[in-house]
Amino acid sequence: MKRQLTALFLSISMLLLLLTGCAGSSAKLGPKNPVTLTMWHVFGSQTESPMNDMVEEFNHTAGKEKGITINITSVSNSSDIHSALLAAAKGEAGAGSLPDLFFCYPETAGSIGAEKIVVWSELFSEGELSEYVPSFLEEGRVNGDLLVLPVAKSSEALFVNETIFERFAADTGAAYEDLHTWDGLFETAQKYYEWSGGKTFVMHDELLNFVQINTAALGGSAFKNEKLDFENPVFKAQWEQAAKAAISGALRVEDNYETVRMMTGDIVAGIGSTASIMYFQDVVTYPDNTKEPLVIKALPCPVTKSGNQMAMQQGVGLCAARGDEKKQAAALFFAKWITQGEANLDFVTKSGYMPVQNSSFEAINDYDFINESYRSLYEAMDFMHAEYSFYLPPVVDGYYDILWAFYEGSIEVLDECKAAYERGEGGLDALAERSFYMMEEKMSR
Amino acid sequence: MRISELTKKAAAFSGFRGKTMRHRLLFYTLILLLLLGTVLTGGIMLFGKFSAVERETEAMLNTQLSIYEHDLKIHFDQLAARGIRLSKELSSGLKEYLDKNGLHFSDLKGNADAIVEAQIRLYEPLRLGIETTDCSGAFFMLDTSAGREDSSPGQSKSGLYFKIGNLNVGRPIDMKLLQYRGSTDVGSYYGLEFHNMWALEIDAERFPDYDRILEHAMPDLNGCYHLTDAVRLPGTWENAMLMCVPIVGEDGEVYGICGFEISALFYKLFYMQPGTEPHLTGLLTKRREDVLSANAGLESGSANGYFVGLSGGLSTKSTSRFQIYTSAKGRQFVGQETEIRLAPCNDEWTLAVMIPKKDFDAKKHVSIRENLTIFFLLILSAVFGSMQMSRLYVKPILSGLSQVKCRALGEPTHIQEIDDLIEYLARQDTQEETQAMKEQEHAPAPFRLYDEFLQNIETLSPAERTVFDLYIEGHTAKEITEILCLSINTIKTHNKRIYMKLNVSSRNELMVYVNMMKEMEGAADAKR
Repeated sequence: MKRQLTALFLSISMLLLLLTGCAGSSAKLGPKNPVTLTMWHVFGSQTESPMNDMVEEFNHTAGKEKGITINITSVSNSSDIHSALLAAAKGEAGAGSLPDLFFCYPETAGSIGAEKIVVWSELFSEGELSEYVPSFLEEGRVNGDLLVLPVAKSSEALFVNETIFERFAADTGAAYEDLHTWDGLFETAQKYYEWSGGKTFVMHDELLNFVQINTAALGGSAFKNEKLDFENPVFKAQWEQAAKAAISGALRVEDNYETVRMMTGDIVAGIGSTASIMYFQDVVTYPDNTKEPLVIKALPCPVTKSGNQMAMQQGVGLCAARGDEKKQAAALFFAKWITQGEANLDFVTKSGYMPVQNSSFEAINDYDFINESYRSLYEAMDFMHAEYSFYLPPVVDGYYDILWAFYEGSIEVLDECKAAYERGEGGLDALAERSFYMMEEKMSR
Repeated sequence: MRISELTKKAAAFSGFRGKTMRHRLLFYTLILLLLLGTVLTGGIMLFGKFSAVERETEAMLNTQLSIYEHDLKIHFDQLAARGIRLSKELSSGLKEYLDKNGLHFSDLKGNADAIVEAQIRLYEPLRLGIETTDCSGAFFMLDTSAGREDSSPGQSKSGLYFKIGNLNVGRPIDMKLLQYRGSTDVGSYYGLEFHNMWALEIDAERFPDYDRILEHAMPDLNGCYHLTDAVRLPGTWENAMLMCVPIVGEDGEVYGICGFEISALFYKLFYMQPGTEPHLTGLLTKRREDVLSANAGLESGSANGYFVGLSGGLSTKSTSRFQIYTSAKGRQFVGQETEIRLAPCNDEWTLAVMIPKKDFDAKKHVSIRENLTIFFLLILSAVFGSMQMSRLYVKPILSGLSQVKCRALGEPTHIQEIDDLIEYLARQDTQEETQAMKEQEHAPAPFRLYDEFLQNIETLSPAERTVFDLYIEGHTAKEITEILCLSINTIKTHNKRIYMKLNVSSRNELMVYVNMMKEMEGAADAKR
């Protein structure tokens, strides 16, 4: 009897203590166990940031049900975020700490390291991963680990200022069809240069993309032993084609995005990421503050006259920093939400990206687009998806350093050669060749 | 009849012999504990221990608010000071440019080339301003335009506006400047990137309080700087407050406005609140009667990354300790606020810190649950402890009493009073025994002889014993002959032997002893 009473007393006491005490953190997601994830993203600087909108929608719907809140603490661009993330991962003074969620290229994720980043393939089932476009997933693997989950992929497209082009076409007989190949594009650019009294027709955001894709389209590779192959004659020929256009003034090369020059009326066409569609305003503003409507027509990225039709596959993806179980569960929940179904379609169609799941490509054809410019872009992307093959940059150590060095080097070299051309110091072919060797010298450092 | 008498009668009637010692002890112990518990509870209530959660929350919010206010005042004071310095540098720079080129300010109108040159010249003070000030951008706008009147409606103003493009901490070390407004020649000249929502000039119609700032402009800039409400920056998704300072020439001519931008993202990063509270929100905004306008202000969250993202108005209700804020979507917060003046030409701002009301309620529930748990644990412990204690206390007493009862004096109980009692009783027993022995030794012969008589009975033979028992039953010798069917001589023979063995000389003497036996048996029966 005594023992029974003692046991009863102890049991009731333990039960009372348990009921009171155990409110500690558990990994189960829910409104009573809220979790906040910080995020750095690169989808900003535009009137309406689609990612900000998606995050707000998530916070008020699916996230709210699971007690998950995403707090955006940085909005930059894909090149700036690389250095910021590396600095944060290394714990450099003044860099802040690595956010719970961030968007970056695979090389950035590789530099940060799998010990600090969640490996998505450990959290997704094989069945779930099979829903994604295989090449998109493949791009996000670093040493076999899926560190970067595809959220939205972009390609390159040719954006044309319809208003100016149609004025020009009416006078000269130029046509949009001429712009399908690089040869046709540069010939049209020369015509425009003459018609406009010396204005540039086109600008390319990333000349290395032009060179490496065209080299690949003609059956070669711009890279050898993880460096640019300046010995490759095809590589040389592609560079010289672009260089001639730049030196002659038909192609603008500067440290800026083509979208900006489109908005100042300094160019008529630009080759850039399909995501550039987000950045166009609806007016061109000239230096004397006069304005005219800017109507964008998007066309498939030009291709080589011979060779395969190829276009770039690019785009940052989603990474999650390793953290406690609750944060990882929350990160996985958001990753699934933003890459699947309606949420993914909603995001990509507002931002000029391709969806990342196979089933979404069919649905996109019936989607309601914001305006005709967006519709033309998705028609162009649909054409490229059907007719082109996508080019994946090589998995080369320091690829983005090479990209950046090539970008800066090409601006400097072509500026110099253009100035020499204007001073009458050589012909186009000679200066184009000279610029090639100048680039080789720069890139060898 | 009194209750106590009634109780006694009732107990006697029912055969109830009263409470045991253990029950009485248990009862009084519980009464004592109940009394202590009441005093304790009363004391706790008197000193407000049950309102600990309210007091602690109030203290926490007040502390956070005072730190927030302190930091904010210093920061915005610096913004104003640096804005004034920027204004003076721009004013002198512009004058120098105009004088050098033989121009008046009014000559800039429609003169795109001159404006571009002026902007290139005035970029440096702006850049320096951004790099040395805690802000997300800097700007100046001149009351002129590159366009002619027909192409540039009156409210399009020329200027430069730069934003920091890579905010991810309060102030990034390597700032990337994006040109948001101004001639692209400036960006190209200095090798700067353009903001994706770049435009050439600033629309003064959409610039907050533009006319009011110019109207209040005076040579003493300390009296006329102005902090705007948070507004949506044209063409972007961002809200920002602008610390504005007029640009005034030496002759009092107002050239325009300059200042610094505090964007919502910058404010969120710069004012993340450290502390133990995981869901703290800070808000700098305007109060319009009973409503705090979240849209007119800027918000910060907690250092752990928590951020609410308030929008719309927060209606306010005051209690004795807190403000209770309710958003349009029904979310409630508990907070404190204070009025703060950040610029001479402004109404006062309201600075508030708050936590979700459900966090506060959860703390209260936990506190109540803990208090109830403690209370129940106390009750349980009291009851269980009293039961155990009373049992343990009473056990040796009962054991001692049992010993006393049985006169079986075993090990001492180690309870002084009981051991004393047992000792006393033992002494009494010893004394009584001794006395009895003494009395027995000096006892009158009959008692000694009686004892011998009793012992001799055992020596009788069965036949003799039969005859003797009949004498005890009161039969005569004649009756015994008839009962046993023996002759009188046989009976006489038995009598002789009986007298001899029992040491009596006659039947009369025998009957005296027999009567004594009967009396002793009767007394023993009565005792039982």
